[in-house]
Amino acid sequence: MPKWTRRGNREGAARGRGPWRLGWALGLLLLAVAAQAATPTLTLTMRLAEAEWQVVRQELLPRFEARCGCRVRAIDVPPEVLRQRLSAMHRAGRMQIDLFAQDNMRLRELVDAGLVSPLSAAEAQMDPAIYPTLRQAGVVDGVRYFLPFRPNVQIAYYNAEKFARYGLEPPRTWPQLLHVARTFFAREGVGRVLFKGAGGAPTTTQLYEWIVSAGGDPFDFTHPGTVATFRFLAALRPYLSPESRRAKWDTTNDALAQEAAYLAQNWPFGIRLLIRDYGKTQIRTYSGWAGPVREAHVIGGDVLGIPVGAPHRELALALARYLQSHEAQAILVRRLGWPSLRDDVAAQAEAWLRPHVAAIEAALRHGIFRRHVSYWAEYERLANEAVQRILWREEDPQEVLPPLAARLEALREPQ
Amino acid sequence: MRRRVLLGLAPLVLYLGALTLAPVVSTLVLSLRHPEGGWGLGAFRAIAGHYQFAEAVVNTLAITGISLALEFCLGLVAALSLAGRFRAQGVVRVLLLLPLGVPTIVAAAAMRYVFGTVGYLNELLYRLGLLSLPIDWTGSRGLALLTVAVADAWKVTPLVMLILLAGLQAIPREVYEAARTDGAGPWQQFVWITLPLLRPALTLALIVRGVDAFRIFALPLALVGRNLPVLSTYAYVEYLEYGNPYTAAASSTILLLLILFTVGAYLRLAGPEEVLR
Repeated sequence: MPKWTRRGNREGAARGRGPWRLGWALGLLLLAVAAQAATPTLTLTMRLAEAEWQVVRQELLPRFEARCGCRVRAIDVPPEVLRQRLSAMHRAGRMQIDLFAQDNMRLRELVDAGLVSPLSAAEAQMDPAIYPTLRQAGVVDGVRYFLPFRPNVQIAYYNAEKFARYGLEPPRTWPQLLHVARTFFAREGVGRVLFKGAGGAPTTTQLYEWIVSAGGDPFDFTHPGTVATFRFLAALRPYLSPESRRAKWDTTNDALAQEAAYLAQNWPFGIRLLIRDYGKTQIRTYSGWAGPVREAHVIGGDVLGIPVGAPHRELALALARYLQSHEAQAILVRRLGWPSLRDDVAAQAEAWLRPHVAAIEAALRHGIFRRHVSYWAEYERLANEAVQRILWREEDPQEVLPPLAARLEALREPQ
Repeated sequence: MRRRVLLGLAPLVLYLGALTLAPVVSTLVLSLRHPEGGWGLGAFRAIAGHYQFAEAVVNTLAITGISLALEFCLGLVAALSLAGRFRAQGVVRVLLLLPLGVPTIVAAAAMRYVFGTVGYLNELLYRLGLLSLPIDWTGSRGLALLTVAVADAWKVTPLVMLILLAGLQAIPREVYEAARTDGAGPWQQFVWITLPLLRPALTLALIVRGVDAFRIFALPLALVGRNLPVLSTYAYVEYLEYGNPYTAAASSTILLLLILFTVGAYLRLAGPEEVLR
């Protein structure tokens, strides 16, 4: 188009403005990037399910970001991978994680590797609303490295319809548990009580609390209480649900939902899934059963830690405090049904959730922490071997346990 | 010219070197290292003494054997059926290939619904009046091996079928015509023409599937869990759950040796020309 026509003039002018517009756009982009760079960005790692991430990213963290004028980059890091990640960043001298949530059974390895920063007395101050039993979480060898964040405790799930059909009550003791297991087997020809026997952490956790409830020492396979636990398991074996062989935390929910099991212990994350999402309103919960000596439930869940060399330590501490606060915990209880570390947020739970929160609180009252030992992975291997051989290979506990006890003894740290 | 060829090959060599050879060599090295430093066979001794290791080796071999037998029988039948012309051939072919497109972990999850104690298979058998109590398909070791092999066969038989179908279509029609002229029946044609001329395709399928079958991982883990260890799941548990890269590497090395030995033995039996064809 010739320049001297009106249209040609317009197009020529537009072409002339083109580079300016591009310049402006680039300038604005640069400004936005600079503003972004000037805003401190904290990196928080956790291991959550997708639905949980949605609440954390969309509801929980934005409130903190608005208050601190910072950004929080929340990323998913599985507990078994966290040590490798931290270790690699530490070795490279470029720590990129400010705060992490970690399984309370994987703390010792981080402390032993010098990857987590100890907290001073002032930093370790805790809100009085935090349950006293949970405050001991995060202390290793008398030094506080971690702050409590998300307590977890196994409760018992039972199918109320099936129990009512056979005139059974949820068991409160081991003899009652055996009776329930036998009754289901006799009436249906197949076991309906579930033990998480697939191996790994789910098996070790369940075994640990059963041993403690029998008055045994989980780290001594010759202790009378420990031997009594394995004997009880062997007696229970014929009446267990076949799904017990595959039962882990997630598959336990499947077994309950599909009615392949009518009684099982599991973490509270199954409540929302089973009752709300699957509509299994016949499933009820209670704290569980006692062993011959006491009722005991392992307290699991995550604690918060700050890595050595974290780029924003002060902000990380502020974020940790926020995550422990009434405001944050109320969101987690209300939206996710998480057990809370505080005694002042239970009322925040939706009405349908409250009986289950009561079950969780009852179980927490009998809560125990697993001992932090540097040889936990090896211990888990031995405990799993004992369960596999006694439960699934039907070997005699008297033959299986002594050699395993000797191997466990060899692992013990010098006292 | 030579330089150009070398330059052209460079990406492939780099790719194979960095992503195949280097991890294999590093795994071999790791299996021979001691956690405290130094070299030795400590990791191999540790796994040899473990109560589940021998079982893992036997299970790996058993699953490989059963699933290959199933896949080759079913794959050959399917390939022979598809080699001829019939109505809706395209639809049938697509339907048969569908499992190949399903990710293994999804197939494993689906198989759990099929083989669970309250799964579809038990329900079907119950409704047909063949069962009064559910069968625990993974309850005993023998049944668990068979269940995993069947689940694996469902997923990968289409691959065997495709390879054999390509082999069948490469056989010249004239050979069959000449055989028919000489009075050979369908069975004689199959035994004396189809099978011998299909040997290269069978060899290829056996190597491709055999290597894959040895490495089976998701199906046994999802269907049975750790109560049915195979070498790959054994290595996985050692590495991820017990944090022992040395024993995991030793287990992986044994798996590699097992694969190399089996493929080598087969090629020795079948003749190396099968690969070169």
